[in-house]
Order: sequence, then structure tokens, then C-alpha cells
Amino acid sequence: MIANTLPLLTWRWLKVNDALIELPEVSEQVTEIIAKENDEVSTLFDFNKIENSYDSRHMTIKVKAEKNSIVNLYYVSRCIEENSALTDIHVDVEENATVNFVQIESGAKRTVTNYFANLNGKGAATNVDAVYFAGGENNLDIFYHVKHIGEETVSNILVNGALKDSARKTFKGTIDFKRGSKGSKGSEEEFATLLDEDVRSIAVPVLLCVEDDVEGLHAASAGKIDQDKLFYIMSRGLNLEQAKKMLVETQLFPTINKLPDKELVEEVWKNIEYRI
Amino acid sequence: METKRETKKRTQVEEYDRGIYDIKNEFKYKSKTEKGLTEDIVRQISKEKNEPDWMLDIRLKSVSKFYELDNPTWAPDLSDVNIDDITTYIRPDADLVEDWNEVPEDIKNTFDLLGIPEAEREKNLSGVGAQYDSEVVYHNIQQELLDQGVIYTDFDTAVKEYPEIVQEYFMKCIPNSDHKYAALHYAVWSGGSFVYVPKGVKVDVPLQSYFRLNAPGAGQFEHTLIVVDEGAYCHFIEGCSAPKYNVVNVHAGAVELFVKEGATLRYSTIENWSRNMYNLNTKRCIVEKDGAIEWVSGSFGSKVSCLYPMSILKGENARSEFTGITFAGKDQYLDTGTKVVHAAPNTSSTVNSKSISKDGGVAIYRGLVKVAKNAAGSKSTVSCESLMLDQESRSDTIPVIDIANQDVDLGHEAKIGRIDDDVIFYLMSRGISEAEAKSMVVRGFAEPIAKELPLEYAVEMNNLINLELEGTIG
Repeated sequence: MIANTLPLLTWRWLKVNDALIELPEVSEQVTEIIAKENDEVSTLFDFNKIENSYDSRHMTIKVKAEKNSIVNLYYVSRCIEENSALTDIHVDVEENATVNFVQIESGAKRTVTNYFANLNGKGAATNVDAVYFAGGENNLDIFYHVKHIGEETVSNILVNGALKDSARKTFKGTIDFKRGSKGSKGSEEEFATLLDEDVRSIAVPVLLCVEDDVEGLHAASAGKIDQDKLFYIMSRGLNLEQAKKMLVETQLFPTINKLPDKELVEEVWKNIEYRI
Repeated sequence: METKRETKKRTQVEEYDRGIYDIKNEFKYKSKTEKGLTEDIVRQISKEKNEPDWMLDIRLKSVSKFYELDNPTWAPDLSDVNIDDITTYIRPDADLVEDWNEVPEDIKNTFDLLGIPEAEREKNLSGVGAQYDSEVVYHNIQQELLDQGVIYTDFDTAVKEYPEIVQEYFMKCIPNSDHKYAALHYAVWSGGSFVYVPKGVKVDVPLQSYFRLNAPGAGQFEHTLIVVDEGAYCHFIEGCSAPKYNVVNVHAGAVELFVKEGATLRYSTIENWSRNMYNLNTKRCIVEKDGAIEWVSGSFGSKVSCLYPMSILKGENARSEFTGITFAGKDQYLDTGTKVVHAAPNTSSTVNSKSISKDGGVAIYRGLVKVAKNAAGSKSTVSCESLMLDQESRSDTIPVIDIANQDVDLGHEAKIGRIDDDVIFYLMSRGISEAEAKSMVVRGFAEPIAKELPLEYAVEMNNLINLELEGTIG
């Protein structure tokens, strides 16, 4: 099935317009999170073991943040035995409300996670802090579509990740300024560290804009571990493996550390560190 | 009186005077084909040109290909391009000559006003080709280049006089199956330039070809083929324009460039087609080991543009630089960008692209940087900036970065925004009017591209920017 489609299509031969996923007949789990006016709500989703005999899941999370509220959504997908995982997150943010989304992807063999955010009210904001680690032959798709609809809305997307073995990652992040979103600011950054020769990293950072009084920027970079930093750390007595782990930790840990449970933070990091 | 005229100028946004670009000569011709695309029309074109059979064969295969392929699903709406309404070949009432005095007066006047003969006279160009509708009417090259073995002719002559070299390279960079309008191009191509620069020869003073489409409801399908042999250097400038009509015109040209080992080619274009033109040009370059291609591109005209110069870095250490600006005004949909494929180790590319949109214009940057599995040690930097001058316009950026090798160093950034109010305030506090202040900011925004062009073309580009900004409601 088609799991997501780019809001603006590009050349078909690049095969990035659609993301496909094969899902067995699992029932879709739907969760709704509503934060009333002035409330603060935090929710953690931690997928660390197989829940059903299909080894796959299809999940929808609907978030509504009413005026002046804050929603902290923590999403951890770390079950490496899972086959396919499709997660759709739909977020509506009203006036002066904020949705903070912390996302850790280090799980299923085939993962597609879609995050659709509508910044409806004036001053609405969303901050996305994501980390991914894919190894083996994992195939990871991360898709964001943030629509700036109200005035003075803000979005910040920061994605850090590392790829190992023959893993493949496709990051598609869209910041979409609609007419009327005066004074809005949107930024998106993605940094990919490529640990092995056979990895494949695809990034499609999209900026759509029909409103002039906005600031939009995106940045994407990819490369292997900084050789100078690696050399420096090894010159201090660490071996190559230890040095690599330290540098990947520097990149990924700050986001993992935002999880609300310190034990969970340790578990998540140890799981990734073991696989580096 | 003065004030009234000024006010009228400021609010007249829909149709502004493009001056020399909009001069329409009487539609005279020696021969032309019927509208549409059929095998008979293609045979007629080939017969007009007295072509060898192998070229006719390519044309006929391309006709079938055109009807097999569909319009792209990702592109701007091309449904108004109806090939049955387009005259694909018009032979002007002029022969190919090497002396401007022998060019018919009305055609010569047009090129005079565009500044081409003057530029050539003052030695700013070492060779010139001028195409009017479907045929080249003037071609000349300085003797000292001829003595060094440089070939610069119109493409029809090249097919007859240099068949081995043309057959070696023709359609090897852009196949007719590439997309529907590449197939159309190969079916009805006419005119264009052929350049061959021998090993080690440096052509320091630019060569220029200028394409002028005068006829309404017509197409221009020039084919440019440039081969820069090992260690050589060449700067080629392409200019194009057409007057505005109420019917659709189509430009489906093709530019195939081959940069051999250690060679460098700079390819500059200032495109100012009229606002009824569908500009569906395809440009591609294959760069061998230690070679370099430098694209400089200014897109100002046309109603709809799909233009993505592509560099294929085939040899080790090959390099590509792209500097471009796109200015989308009222009723324009300019979908431009660039594609780079790193297909060898230690290749490098830089892309510096700017776009401006105003009065409801749509400017889209569409890009690709692809690093193949064998392209270890590659480096790439992409920077796209978009400036929106009002809230009626649209500016989108859709770059794709596809990396299949770990040993790569790649960075991409893009920004969208408007002219900073503080900057305008500062300039106005220094006595500059608001309109002029905005103009200065926009010219400053375009400056990195202007400085890559020879002076006369930078001046032309700035004039085009001024022309676009005239009538902008402050």
C-alpha cells in the first residue's frame, strides 16, 4: 500500500514520490490525545516487543492541542524483531499551543512514520526532535508535513540519524506556508551519519510557500564520521569502535535524553550502542 | 503630467513594454510545414535540409516515441501545448551568410536592436550564430580560431560536413526517450550550433548563439552540440527571445555537451522568451576525468518553463558548478533547477540557485544530487534562496539528495523569505525611493549570477530585472 505521498511530486524515476509498505492484515490501533485549554499533557509510546503474531503494526495517533496547551508526545520504536510498522500521527495545534514530538526510530525492518501537523491558530507551534538508527537491511521512511496556517506559527524540526550495514533511509520533510500565515517561521534540519559502504540515504527537504511574510529554511547534510574528530579521540587512547560510538552518541544522545524516563533513555541508548 | 504618468506606470502590472524583445517583424517565410506532427511533415523537413538517411531515420523513430510518451505528472500543466496547433518548421526568407550586410534588413534590424552584431564587432565575441525561426541566418567565427582547428558552425552544416563526429555524439547525451519533448525535439529539430574545440586550445573570448523566434504559433527546436576536447577551454553563450503573441509558442531545444579529460566548458544562458512561450528545453553535459562544466543560467521569460541543466560527472575528479537565477512574474510558472549525478570518485559539485517571484508568479526550484555507489570521495554543496516580493506569488523548493556511498561530504541549504523591511527603511532614510530601494535589493540578490556573466550580459540581466520590477506596486 502507499503509505505517504509527497505534497509536490518530483521526477518519477527517483522513486521518492510515494512510500510503499507491505502490511499484513493487522487492525489499525487508533489513539486520541486531547489537551484542553491551558493543559499540559505528556504521552509516551514505547514499542519494544512484538504485540501480535503478525510482527507488524498499524497505528494512528490523533493529537488535538487546544488554546495555550502543551502536548509532549514521546514515540519510541525499538523492537528490532518487528517486520513492518506504519504509524500516522495527525496533529492539530490551536492558538498559542505547542506540540513537542520526540521520536526515536531504531526498530522494525520496514518502518514508515508520518507526522502531519496543522498549525491552525495564531502562535501555534510544533517542535520535532527525532533520532533514527537503522542497520542490517532495514528500510526507514520518515515523513513530515507541517502546514503553517495561522499567523506567527513556528515549527522546528531537527533530525539526527546514523545508518549502518545496508540500511536505507528516506527522509521527506515538508514545511508548507499557507497564505495568511504572516510572521511564521519554519526550520528543518537533517544530519545523517553514514557508517558503512552499502548504506543508502535519501533526503527530500521540501519548502512550499504562498505567503511572503515568513521565514523558511531547511538544511540537510550527510557524510561519514568526521575523520579529524575520530583521530583526536583515538589519539587519547580509545580504539576505533569506541571512538565511533562516542561520536555517534554525541550526535544522537541529546535527543534520546529528552525522553521522560531516565531508565528508558539508558535502555534506548544501550540498544543503539550495541548495534553500532 | 509627470506625476500622472508615473502613477500609471506603477500600477500597470499586467502588460509592460518589453521594448526590443517584443518587436514583431512581418511573418515572411520561404517555406513552412503544416501544423502538427506527422511522418510526412518530418520527411518534408528532412528533405528541405537534404539530410542523410540516418538522420531521417532518427526523426521518424522520434515521432512514434512522442506519441507513446505522456506529459509528466509532476510538472506544470502542459495541456495547452497542442502539437496540432504548432508549426514546427519555418524557413525564413533568408539564406545562411557570414556577413551581416547580406542578412535581410528586417531580420538584421532585429539582431541589431538585440546588440548581437555590435558585440561581435567590438571583439567581445569570437564567433556568432544567429537563428531566426527555424534556420540559422548568420554564422561567423574569427579566423584565428579557425586556424587553431576550432569548428563553430550551424548544426545543419555540421551534419553534412562533419558526419563522423556528429554521429559519434548526436543523441548520446539526451536520448529521444528521455521525455515527450525530447522526442518532439528529435523529430523536428532544426538549426542550432555545433562547436568542436581541439585538444589544448583555449577559446578565451566567448562564442555566442542567439535564437529568435518571430512567427506566432510556432516552435523552435534548435540542437546545440559542443565537444571540448582534452585540456581545452571554451565559453559559450546562448541567448533567446521572442515577441509576445496570443497563441502558444513552444521551445523544445536540446543542448548536448561533452567535456573531455582536463577540459573546461562554461555555458551561459540568458533566456527571455515571451509570456506565451512554453520553454521545454533539455540541457545535459557529460564530464570526463578532471573536466569541468560551469553553468550560468538566467530565466526571465516564458509562460511555463521546465528547465533542469544536468551534469553527469562520469570521470574521476570531474566538477560541476551551477549558478542560476529565475524571475517569475505575473502569469509565469517557472519550474527550474539542476541535476547532478556523481558517477565517479572524488567528483565535486556546487549549486547556487536563486529565485524571485512576484505578482502571482510561480517559481519552483527542482533539484537532484545523486551520488552513485562508486563515487567515493565526492563533495557537494547546494544553496537555494527564494525571494518573494508579495503575497500573491508562490515559491517552492523540492530538492532530492540520494546518496549510495558512505564516503561523501554533502551539504544542502535553502531559504525562503521576503525583502527585509529594515533594509528598505535604511535605504529610504538615505534618500532613495521605495521602488528604487527594492530594485537595489533585488539586484543585490541577483549579483552572484551577474558577476559570472560577461559585462554586457550582466548589464542585460540587470536591465531585465529592472524591466520585471517596473510597475511593481510598492
